[in-house]
Amino acid sequence: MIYLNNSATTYPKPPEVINAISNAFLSYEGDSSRLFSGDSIDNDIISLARKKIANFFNIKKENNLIFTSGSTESLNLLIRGFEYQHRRIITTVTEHNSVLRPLYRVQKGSSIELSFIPCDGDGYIDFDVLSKEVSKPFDYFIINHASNVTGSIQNIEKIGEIVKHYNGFFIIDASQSAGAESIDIEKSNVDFIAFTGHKSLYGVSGIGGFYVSDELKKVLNPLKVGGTGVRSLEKTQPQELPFYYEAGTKNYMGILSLYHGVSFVEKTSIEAIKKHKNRMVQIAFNNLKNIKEINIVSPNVIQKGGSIFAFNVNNFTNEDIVYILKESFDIIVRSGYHCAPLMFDYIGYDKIFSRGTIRVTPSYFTTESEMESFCFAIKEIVGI
Amino acid sequence: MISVVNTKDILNCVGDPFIKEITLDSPITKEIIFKLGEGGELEYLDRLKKPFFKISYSENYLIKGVEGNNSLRVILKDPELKNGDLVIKKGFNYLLSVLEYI
Ligand SMILES: Cc1ncc(COP(=O)(O)O)c(C=O)c1O
Repeated sequence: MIYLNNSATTYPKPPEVINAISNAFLSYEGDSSRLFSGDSIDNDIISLARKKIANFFNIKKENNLIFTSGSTESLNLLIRGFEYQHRRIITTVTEHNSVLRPLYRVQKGSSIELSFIPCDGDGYIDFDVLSKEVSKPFDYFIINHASNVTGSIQNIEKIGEIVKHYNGFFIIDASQSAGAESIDIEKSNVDFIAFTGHKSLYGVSGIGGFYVSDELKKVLNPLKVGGTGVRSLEKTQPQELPFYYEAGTKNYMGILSLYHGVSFVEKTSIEAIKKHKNRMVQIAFNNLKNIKEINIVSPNVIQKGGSIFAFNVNNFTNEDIVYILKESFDIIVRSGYHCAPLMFDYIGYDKIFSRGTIRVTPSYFTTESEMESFCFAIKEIVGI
Repeated sequence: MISVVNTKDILNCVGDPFIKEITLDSPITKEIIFKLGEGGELEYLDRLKKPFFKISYSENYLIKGVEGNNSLRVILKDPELKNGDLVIKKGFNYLLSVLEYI
């Protein structure tokens, strides 16, 4: 099998992630501190992972880094646990359904106003509209850092500066960018960042988390309360971080995988990973760009170092291409709206991608010959 | 005779509401494809090492698959159509009737 759907989830995982989990399953799983055979609380895998990930995003207070099951849970907590004051949220048309659906839900039956900033044909947001929108009071500014449709990366440092100037909370969905782009919480004035472990952080599915600033924490309620292992005699959830948002038994194996996934990214370096993925994408781009039946999404983003090759083929449905790739060539890619439905009215020209795209996403482990096999398959399908 | 070993309903991201994947106990042959094609309009991509086929029927369903594989799909052509499940059932029954003769 050739797997080119790494924006959905990375496969394979680095050997150190696989080894760590298999070894841990063979040892006593019930007590996380024993996973690393440390006897002090500072030495257990959860503390070590929290420190490592906090450091990775340049988060100064590691306890403000909270573990969840992934971005979807983090974003639900963010949007549904908030005490809205201005009752206005600014977001963009590039958002994933894990932002959009919680937003629609809180909006339903309430007076909360949603404002959407449009994007250009490559998926970059419109700064003129942004400037107008932030001039009216708002609670949240939520933005998808890296688009899972075009691969465009938003300038979060610049946006963070503007948002802070107007006193709103600045929120980043880093599901696609964590591990793929450098993120510095301090430099970007971020109040909340949602991340997921199973994509470019190379962990397993079911683990992720968020960072929350002290300021935002004051008005952000937990969605679940329960056991934390501390202050068990009290009736209310402990106010201290991370316990405030981390009720219930944690996903030790997920956290362990995340620790090793992040170590892998650090060791390999984000720059090297990015470069490799773009080189893979360029193979597809250079092989297929001159075929008149093929329409490619955002060549500009690819030329700027993007890691997504998305396209469609005249006279074929996207679903047929994906089906043929899988059934005739054993190549896995993805078609559709990629859970970011608003974006398809903006990308490309003349709405050529209004029925979605076929998305090809390599990882650090994708090889040149795999990309060439993909290009060969497409040429054979098109009849070239 | 070829028989059906499994059926599965599939939901896709674009929102096509009715797709039924059917697994057979043996690979789909060229003979089956052309027999199925008699009832509709056959598209057959024989330039592929494992040819893809798609047959469009006037009753509003499609059958598609790849020669040599064990599974194929019955798909509703018009997602807006009411009673899509009945149309898919029709397509499935048509497939069964063809398989009976192989
Ligand atoms: C941009 C974006 N946001 C959020 C998510 C949701 O991540 P998860 O399903 O891991 O919670 C994804 C995953 O596909 C994504 O691409």
